[in-house]
Amino acid sequence: MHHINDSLEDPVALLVLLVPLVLLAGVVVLVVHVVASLRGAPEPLAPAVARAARRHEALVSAVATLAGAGATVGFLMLPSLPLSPAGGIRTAGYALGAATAPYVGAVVLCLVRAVGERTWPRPRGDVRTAPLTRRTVLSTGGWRLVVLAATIATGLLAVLLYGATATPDGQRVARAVVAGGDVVGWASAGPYPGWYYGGPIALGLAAVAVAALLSLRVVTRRRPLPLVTREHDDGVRRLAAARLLAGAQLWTGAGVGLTMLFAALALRSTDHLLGTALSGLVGATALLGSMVVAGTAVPGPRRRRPAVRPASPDGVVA
Amino acid sequence: MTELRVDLTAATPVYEQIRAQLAALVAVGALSPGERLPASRDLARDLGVAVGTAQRAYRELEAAGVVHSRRRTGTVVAESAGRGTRSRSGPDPHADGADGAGGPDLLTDVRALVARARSEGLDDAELLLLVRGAQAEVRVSG
Repeated sequence: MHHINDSLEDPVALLVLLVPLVLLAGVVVLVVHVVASLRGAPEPLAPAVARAARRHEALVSAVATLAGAGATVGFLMLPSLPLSPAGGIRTAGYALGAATAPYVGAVVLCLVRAVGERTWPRPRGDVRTAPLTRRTVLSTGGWRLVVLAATIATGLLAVLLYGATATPDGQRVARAVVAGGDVVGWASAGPYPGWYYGGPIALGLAAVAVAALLSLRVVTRRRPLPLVTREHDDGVRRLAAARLLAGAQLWTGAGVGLTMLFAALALRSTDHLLGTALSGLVGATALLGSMVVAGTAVPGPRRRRPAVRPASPDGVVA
Repeated sequence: MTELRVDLTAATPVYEQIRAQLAALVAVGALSPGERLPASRDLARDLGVAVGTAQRAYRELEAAGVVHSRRRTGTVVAESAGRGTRSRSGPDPHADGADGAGGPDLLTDVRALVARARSEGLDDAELLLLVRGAQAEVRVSG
């Protein structure tokens, strides 16, 4: 079999370059988010206790995002450890690590977020209140949960399709070389997300789905904040869910998008034009769309509003 | 959105405070038939009380026919709950400003009574004392 683009190092180097770029974008989003949040609540008329609640939420978001970024980088660096086997195995380890690291980051972000939700003060005082509404994970997650589910479903579908079209080793895609009506050989290109990469990617996507739902459930079922009005409590809850899902979306979309863009490169090398176009288009949409979705959970610049206008407890840019 | 408020230091047990408030909200139509209530576990967690406390309140409401519980739908306001009160209260969209049952708009009067009591500085306990006293007087004279 003739290998096109046989060297793993170039694409892997590109992937290793792209993943930190995505992470850098995430960190920029984080910095804007933290600065905007710590400068004060979006509504200057909000009571001090509501502003403190938002600051606590911003701190939990920042720690969760940093933990997710750290876990991603750490997972990427695992093959560099002295105990890791050298040579081709280490190179394959880099590729596999790069393919699955975003999902590790997303899972860590979700879990840290869930732990952070447990740090809110418990109800105290002799008089307690509770809203008579049923909160559900779907109502708390809103459209961001639907987008994350669609991204995960797209990733799983892509893994199935790539797995079905990959070579038996699950790392390349091949195309018959035909001359005079006869197959005279096979050309292949990689890395290609067949089962070798697809299995761990599917596990990663499933883990993200479970972690996001579990964490969102913790946000949904958190006790109402003491001394805070119901409107502000709902606003903090929606903000927490938005930032949780935005973070998971950023990491998951980056993973799915980059995987599909790499598959598009391999498909282009083997002249699968339709597959190249579809994979590239969907991959770029997942990557860039996830960044946009993540950006919507960042507080916008504080707007000057007339004093009589009612305060919006959400604080999330629509 | 309605909410429950319980006072842990009140002489009335917490489960009874929950039961009474839910029954009252159903009676005035703030909770409609078929409306789903929070799960007892969620309500207990939000209030910071034991799960058994909320479960007891729900059990008593179910025994009184105010709510019913199903495994799949949870606890919902019963279709027949508060029917008697609602038939005598609230604006009837089909009536031209007239009271729903042709008689006095009882709920409107009660709301006016509560508003007047608060404007005159009476707290809820004092108002309830007046109402119970009036009920006793009517029973005696009737």
